[in-house]
This record gives sequence, C-alpha cells and structure tokens, in this order.
Amino acid sequence: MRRVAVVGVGHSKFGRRDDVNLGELAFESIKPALEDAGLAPEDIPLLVVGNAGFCEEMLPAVAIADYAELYNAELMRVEAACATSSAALAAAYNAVSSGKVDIAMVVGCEKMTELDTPYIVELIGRSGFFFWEFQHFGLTFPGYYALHATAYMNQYGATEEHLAMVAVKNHKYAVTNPYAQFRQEITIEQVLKSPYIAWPLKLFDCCPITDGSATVILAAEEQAKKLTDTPVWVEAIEGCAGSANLSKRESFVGLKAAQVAAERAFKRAKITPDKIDVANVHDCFTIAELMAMEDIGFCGRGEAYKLVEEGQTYIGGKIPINVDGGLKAKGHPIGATGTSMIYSLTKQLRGEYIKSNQAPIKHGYALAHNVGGTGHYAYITILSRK
Amino acid sequence: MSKKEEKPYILSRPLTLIYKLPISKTLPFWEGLKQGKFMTTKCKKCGRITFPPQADCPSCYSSEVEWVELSKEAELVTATAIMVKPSSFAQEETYIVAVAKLKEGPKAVGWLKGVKPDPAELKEKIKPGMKLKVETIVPKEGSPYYVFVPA
Ligand SMILES: [Zn+2]
Repeated sequence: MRRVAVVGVGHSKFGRRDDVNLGELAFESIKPALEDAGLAPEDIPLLVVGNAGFCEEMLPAVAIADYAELYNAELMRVEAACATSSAALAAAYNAVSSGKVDIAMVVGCEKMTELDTPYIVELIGRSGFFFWEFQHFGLTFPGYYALHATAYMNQYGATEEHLAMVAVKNHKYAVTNPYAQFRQEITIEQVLKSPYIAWPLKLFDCCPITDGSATVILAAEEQAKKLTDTPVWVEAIEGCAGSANLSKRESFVGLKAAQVAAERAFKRAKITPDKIDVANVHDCFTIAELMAMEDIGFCGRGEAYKLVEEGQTYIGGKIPINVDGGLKAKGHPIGATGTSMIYSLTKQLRGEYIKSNQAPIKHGYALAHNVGGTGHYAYITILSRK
Repeated sequence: MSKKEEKPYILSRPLTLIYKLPISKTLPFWEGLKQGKFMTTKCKKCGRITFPPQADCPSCYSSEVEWVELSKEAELVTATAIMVKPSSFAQEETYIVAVAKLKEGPKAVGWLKGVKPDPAELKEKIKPGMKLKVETIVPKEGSPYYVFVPA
C-alpha cells in the first residue's frame, strides 16, 4: 500500500441553501479544492461522490460530474447514511493507495431543504430499519438517539444539563466559522427551555437540516510531495457495520460499530487516543458526542459527561472536540459531513484554520469520527502532518 | 435562527410511492398477531431465537427454522417519546417507542402504551427493568402489530 495525503480541500457555506441546486452547491467546494491542490478538472481520474439521496436527482453523482464537467474521471456514488462521504473517502483512498490511480477527488454533497421538514423527518426515519421499526412504530432519527440518551442517563447519572453543555460549546465555535449554519451562541437555559423533539432530546440537542458540500482531493505520496509543502497524511481510515435492528443491540450506552472502527484505526495508525490533538466527532445529537468520546477511547465509559462538565473539550482542554461547530451548529448535510470533517482537520493540521478555532498541534494527529445511522455504519479517519 | 426569505423556485412533479412489502417468509408472525399470538422463529440447528423473526438463521445460516410462540413477558431496556413525527404519522398523538428484552432472550422494538408521554412522567417511570407485557393489536385498517404495556 502507498502512503496517501490530502492535497486539496474545499467547503461550501452550510445552511438552508435554497439559492442553489445540487450541481451548483457541489461546485462551491469542487472549485476551491482544485485551486488548493493546484489541479485542473482533467487531472482527476477518479471521482467518488458521497450523497445519501434526499433530493430530486436520482443519480446525484452524474448531476455533479456534469455540472463541473469532470468527464475524465471514473465516476461512482457511495452511500453510508450520515457517514456517506467518509465511506466515499475510503473508496478513493483504496484506489490511490493500491496504485490504481495517483489522484482522486471525493465530493460530499447533500440537498435536504427542498422537501418540507415532515417529509425529511419521514425519509430519515425510514433510514433505520424500515420494515420492523418504521412501518408500525414511526421511529425518527432523534428518536433513535433519544433511546441511547435515556439509557446513558439512566446508567451513568448524566443529566439533560450535561447534554446542553455539548450544544453550548459547539455553538460557541460556530460563531467564528464562516461556513456554519448557526453562527450565534446559546445558553444552557435556552437549550433546556427548547421544546422536546424526541424525549429526552430537545430542539437544541439536535443538528439542523442542512444543505452543503465539501470536497477532498487525495494524492499518492510522490504526487503529493510535488503538489504541496503541507501534505496531510491519511494514517488510517477504518469502518465497521452495526446492527440495523435496534432490537439486536447488546447495549445502548455506546455504538459498537464506532468502537470497533476506532480500535482498527488506532491499530493501523500505530498510535493511542492520547496522541490526538483535535477531533471532529459525529454530534448529530448532543448524546452522540458523549458516546463518541467513550467509543473512541478519549475516556472511560460513563466519563465523557464529566470531561464536558470540566470544559476539557474546549480549545485548551484535554481534547478539543468539534471546534468548527460540529454537526450541531455547523450543520449536517448528510452526505457532506464526512468530507467537511476532513476539511476542518486538514486546516487544523496545516495550522491555517480560523485563528480563534485553531487547536494547538502538539503530536501532529487529528481524528474524524463519522457515524451513519445510529451506528449502522461507522468510520474513523486518522490524519497526521508527519 | 432567523427565517430568511425563500429564494425563487419551481415545484417538482409530485410523486407518491407505496411499496408492497413481502411477508411470505414471516406469514406466521402476521397471522399469529390476528389470533392474539406473539410468534417468532427458532433455529432447529443451533437453537437461536431471533426477533424479529427471520427465515434464515443469522448465527449458523441454516434455513431450517421453526415457529415458536413467545410468552409476551418483557422488561424495559430504554424508551423515547416521539414529539416531532414523520409525515405519515402526523395524525398520531405523541407516542412512546421502547426497546424491551423478551423473557426468551431477544429484544424487541415497539410502542409503549399506558404511560403518559409527558416529560415529568417519563422521567419518573422510564427505568430499565420495568415489567412489561406484549399486547397484540388488530386495527380496522392496515396490518396487525403489537405494543408493550406495563405488566
Ligand atoms: Zn442457527
């Protein structure tokens, strides 16, 4: 296997983007990524599009490749629910590391606001296990995570206040992120007073419905060193499947798929969790950030909410998490979320992130934790600047 | 979270999708519900009881499974109440979805009736280990299903 580096990244404004269609939105991250890498459209021999499928285009990869006229590329679309563009990145990484291609582009792009909210709630709810869970019982995605929140709070004594602290932190960092959907601070009181969406989760525990795109360009070692002085190396990208049926889960206080993916990733990268300088974790709901911290191994089981209470997940703390605003406040355009994490972490490791959001880089490692469904899929990516 | 003005758009052609969901291989489950029975599959080769039922054993991959009747006794594992509902459930009152551990071992997902979906009452009552029983429901329209109720 060859070493592979991130050599270009681009990001669109996240939010309710009713001013653009799918191709136009993808272009907003494709163009800056090509500029960042110093490449032209015809230099891309493989284009992997991450799109979970919530807009009118049945073949989103085709619509995107056509708008940017990336006709020289082998083209495919990858789906792994909310981990879609991490899976797309894995496919591109495999092609580059194996020697099949020297360069590959991953475009994560999702348009979610073209449907009214109840229909999006319906489509995402159907994305669990439709036949046995949605058809008769109408589970929603906030509902799936709420089942975990209830279990976690009952087992470890965490409270709704602890969940609120996660939202408050992520909103704080979104204020200075120009790409973020929600750029205002919130208070614990505001979170606690917001209406219940799926008890015990409230409106401000939940990520918004978002349109957005983020693009990552990978290159093999030899090409990467020619293209850039600041390659960011992909040390590991590992995934694992989890049960679709919640009834098959042993436990509801963590996500098994993420635990296995993390173990595999640390083994592949030959490092331990304490070497991670900054992490983006899948905080689609506040409870998810707590479970992620424990699943990755930043702390023991039942300890994440105590770290949050101590402020250890802010910049300057033990492990800065989601200091770009996270899914919670930056927004969660399902198929673009994985590549958006890679965008933020690449900028972090290059030391060129937004000044107020730049984490201190001591060991030179960053980690992205991207979950599809409620741990139906999970991907862990470890990046380094070494 | 200020509401920005909507940008210009045109409406897509409408599309209504209704899928036909095959139940040939789980028919005893659906027929059982109509008779008040809670049925599932048990592998003849390795003995695994699966819930939901499935025609092929996911442990040993044998397709030799038999149908067994479950006791309807269960214990609560975790629960939520769905306040913001999907469009196709818009007519329902707020409903509680629970994961329960069946006496025979596997877990099941279903509605929990008989507890008020009010945050204060949920906080007090939704505790792991709460004793539940399964009730079968045959609605006037649509397919039969089951719910949990406090035992
Ligand atoms: Zn078997």
